[in-house]
Amino acid sequence: MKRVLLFVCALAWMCLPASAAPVVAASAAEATQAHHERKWLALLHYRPHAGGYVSDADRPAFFLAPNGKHSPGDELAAALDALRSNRATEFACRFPARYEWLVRRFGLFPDTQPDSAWMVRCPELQAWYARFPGTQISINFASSYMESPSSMFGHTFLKIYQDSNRSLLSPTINYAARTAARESELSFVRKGLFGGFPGVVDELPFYRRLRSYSENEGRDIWEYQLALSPEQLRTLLLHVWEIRDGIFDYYFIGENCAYRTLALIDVARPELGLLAQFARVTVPVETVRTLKANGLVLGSTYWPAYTKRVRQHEQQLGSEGAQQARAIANGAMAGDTGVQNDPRRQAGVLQLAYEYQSLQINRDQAARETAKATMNAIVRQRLALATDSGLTELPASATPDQGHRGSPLSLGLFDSDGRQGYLLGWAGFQHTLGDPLAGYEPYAEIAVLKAQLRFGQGQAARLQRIDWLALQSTDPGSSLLGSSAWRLLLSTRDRDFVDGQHRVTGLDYGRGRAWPLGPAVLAVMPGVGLEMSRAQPHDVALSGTLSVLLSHQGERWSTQMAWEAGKFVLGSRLYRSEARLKASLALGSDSNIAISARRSFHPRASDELLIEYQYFR
Amino acid sequence: MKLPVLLLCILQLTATPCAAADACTWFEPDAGPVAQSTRILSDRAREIRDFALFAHRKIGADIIERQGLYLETLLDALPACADRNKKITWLTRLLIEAPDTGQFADRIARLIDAANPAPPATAPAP
Repeated sequence: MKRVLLFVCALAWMCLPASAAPVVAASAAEATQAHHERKWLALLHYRPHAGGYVSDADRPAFFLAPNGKHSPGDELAAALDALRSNRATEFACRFPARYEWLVRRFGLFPDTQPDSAWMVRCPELQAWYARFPGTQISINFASSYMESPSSMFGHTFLKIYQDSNRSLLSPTINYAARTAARESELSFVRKGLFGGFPGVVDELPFYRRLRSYSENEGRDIWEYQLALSPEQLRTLLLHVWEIRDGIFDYYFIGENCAYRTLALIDVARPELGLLAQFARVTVPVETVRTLKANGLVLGSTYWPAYTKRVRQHEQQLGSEGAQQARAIANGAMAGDTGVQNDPRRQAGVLQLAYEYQSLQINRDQAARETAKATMNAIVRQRLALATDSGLTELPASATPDQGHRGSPLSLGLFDSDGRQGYLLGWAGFQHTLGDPLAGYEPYAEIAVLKAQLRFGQGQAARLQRIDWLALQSTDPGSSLLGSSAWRLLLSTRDRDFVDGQHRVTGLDYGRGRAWPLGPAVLAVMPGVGLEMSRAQPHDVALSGTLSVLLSHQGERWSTQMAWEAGKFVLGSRLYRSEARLKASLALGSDSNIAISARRSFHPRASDELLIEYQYFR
Repeated sequence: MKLPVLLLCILQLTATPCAAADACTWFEPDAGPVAQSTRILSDRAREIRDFALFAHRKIGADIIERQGLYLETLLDALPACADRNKKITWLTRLLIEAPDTGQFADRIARLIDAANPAPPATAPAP
């Protein structure tokens, strides 16, 4: 009976919008007023521009009116016209979120019920929508991945879920750039910065995201449950359908994954104005903070990077256990060797061997078959032990949104070879080894658009440096996972020459290793440097470089000692070397004070002392 | 479940009695694998097969520890059986015996379809 009723109901709906249904015409005045409403502006992605509006959408197909990109009013009139014509069904199937809002807002089709039965006329949409049976939604933040320019600041995506038992199977909504498989690196960066990649949505299940981010790339994921009602979630999903296939260009810095993900939530909750603070730069974790500040975050779940899990288990078993696990995974030792008298420890070693081999399989495709056979043998031996391993996983100490904000303002006093002055600094985004650690990855540095202005005694202000992009990772790793240390610096700075300081623009890259040294980390990174300056004899010069860094990061205190040298081998015979020492004290989550000293040995001796206060905003 | 009915189900020659029967029978050591069939997998079985394929190693790690979300997801997808240990033992056996990841995933998917006859599958996902 219920099915019959549903069928009749659906049949009635199928006939209504496309036939001569009694559409209540909105008055011109009402339509004029409605096009300023936040919901309409959010659905069409309009933002204020030159006294009017402009939509972020980059494809004409997103609009019905010829000037829809710039005119919310004309676009609304065109949409209402479509609903009054025989194109109503076509409109509903293409723009379902717009359709449902217009129907409610203007009381269209009053003889029909405001439920989802109209969707039966749109089989493609209906099939797609049925893939999201959940009633709850979370935003997931994947921590930074410094190996890829598009993921340096992290990544966000949505998950639609029903209950915890099916959490891994839940579909996700992931907005990303559609890139060509053979895109050159230069083209990749150019299009990412200036446009050229269409932004598209894919809907893989959550376990596939965990595999990509947590297992393959070693990134943490924090899942934040969002306070959206089922109706708001429905609007969000229907809007995903509207924008999922290349409606917007993708930009790494501004209109990126995080911006578009936030824009989807903005469509569900337009009254909050979530996008207001994001104009040119969108840092993913800042969007999470915005959601939290607006009371949209209910709680969070931590999905640690797989490499962290392995590292923690390695620490619990000690170096001997780690070596045994490596030997078992490599097939050099039987799983029951060495620790037979301690079944629990043996279970732990076997589990670590299994986890280590899981990572190796990802990294070495050639040895896949051998690795699989080894894993099977490990499983058999492990299952023969009727005991648990006792290995545990430690919770994260802080969530990313609890970390310091991204953009610091700094004020400092310096003494440079007896000349005193003060400096002002600013960065678009920064986290360095000296900044408060909570919520950030240890041993990692990132700075974008970091500028420093100096004022000396009786001298005009001078822009002393701009670091366009500075990246550094000095992860000491572990005996199983190995270490990775590298750095990249693209900057315009005042640098030492024999006759004083001159402005240079340079690119430095180094790669080496890092080792734990008690509570500190020692990194050695040989590399190369390319420098352009009028002070160089041939304007361009190439150097071989060496950077040695000893650093310690604590909850409040951090210290770094560095020695850097560069010998030019092409275009110049200059030799530079300098040593630096820095100590920082976190005054809170968003501020710190640091004292640093620098001594330059070559090409001329100079000393500098600096005291600096930073506030992140 | 009576043995002849179980055999019919295993051979996928009948469907209705399988669903009604006590699904724990599927996990008995002597139940044997569900026969290969040309029948298209249901949406649900295909979803779980893909999960088992992609998450095989994480599932393996959970089976070893007899706990974890990957294991719970599979247990939830398998035919209902009050005895959780029977399911885990069956999965453990399968993990060891299945010669590769594909067969591990296929056997789970076929069991789901054999025990829970579902409506015909929709078009395969792209």
